[in-house]
Amino acid sequence: MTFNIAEALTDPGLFEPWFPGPSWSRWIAVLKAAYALPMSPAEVELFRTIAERDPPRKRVRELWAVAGRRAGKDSAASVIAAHAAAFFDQGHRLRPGERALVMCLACDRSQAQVVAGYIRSYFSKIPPLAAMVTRETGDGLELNNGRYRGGHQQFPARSRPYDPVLDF
Amino acid sequence: METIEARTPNVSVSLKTRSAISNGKRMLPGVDGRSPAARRYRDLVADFTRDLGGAALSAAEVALIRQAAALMVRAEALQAAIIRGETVDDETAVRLTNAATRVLTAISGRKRKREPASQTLDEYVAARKAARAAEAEATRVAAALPGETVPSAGERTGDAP
Repeated sequence: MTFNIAEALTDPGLFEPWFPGPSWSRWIAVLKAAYALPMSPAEVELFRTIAERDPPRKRVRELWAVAGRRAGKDSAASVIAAHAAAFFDQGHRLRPGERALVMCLACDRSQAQVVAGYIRSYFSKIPPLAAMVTRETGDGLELNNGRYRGGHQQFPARSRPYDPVLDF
Repeated sequence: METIEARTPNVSVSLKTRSAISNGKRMLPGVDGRSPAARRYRDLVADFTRDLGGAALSAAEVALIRQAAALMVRAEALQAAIIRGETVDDETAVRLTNAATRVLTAISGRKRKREPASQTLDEYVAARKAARAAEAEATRVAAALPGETVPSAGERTGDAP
């Protein structure tokens, strides 16, 4: 049983309290387009005004957001990472004992910690997510879905040893 | 014969052969339970036990609570001596404080583990999807029956308007 990112983002018991009001409708349209989720005509039109293109036909592997300060980039990144960690369901791609890792990369540790702070707030304030946390480490969280470790990492020192296993 | 199999499943022991301390009838050996320190110790044991969720504690948890209570009584006595202006061994005071902190941390860690797990994410999502499906069904039914109105209370019971 899973929620797609738009459902999770607009659910009052999950991420909606962090993304209230119509000002987040642009990011919701962008995320729906990036995940190739069904969009209303208004959302398609909104996406066209932002991206100057039609929504992708299938889920994208990379999403580049060219946006100014206070545009909500960190917030959007945090909810993408938290959603991927909480609803991860690709255990068949992991070997027994292997853990998947969500990394939030930034140009330095302080910037990475901004997103990490947002993610920690989700996993401490949202009860169903808080129940998943088994351990807090210095640079992330370990979750109880047995296959996943949500975290953040500074770029680029330790980004090499991990192989990406998530199919976005 | 009453036994304590629940606590020690592999050994059936009569309550009469266990010590009074094990059975909770006596607090500590050779202690006058009426002294101020003994009463404070008993109160602390009761408070820590309540913090951990009541009587269903393991032997290890009971031991931790007793140790914490004893350390706290001793630390309080030292604090009182300091306030009275008496000479106190600073190293002993610091060691007592550190030991009490460690034990209390261990107790609070067990308390967190005992807290009931909230709804899992799967359960939450399943409940929300069911609720959304019910709402959608209600909306669909309402849309399929245009013009119908919900009867008033008087109409339902047949009372005069």
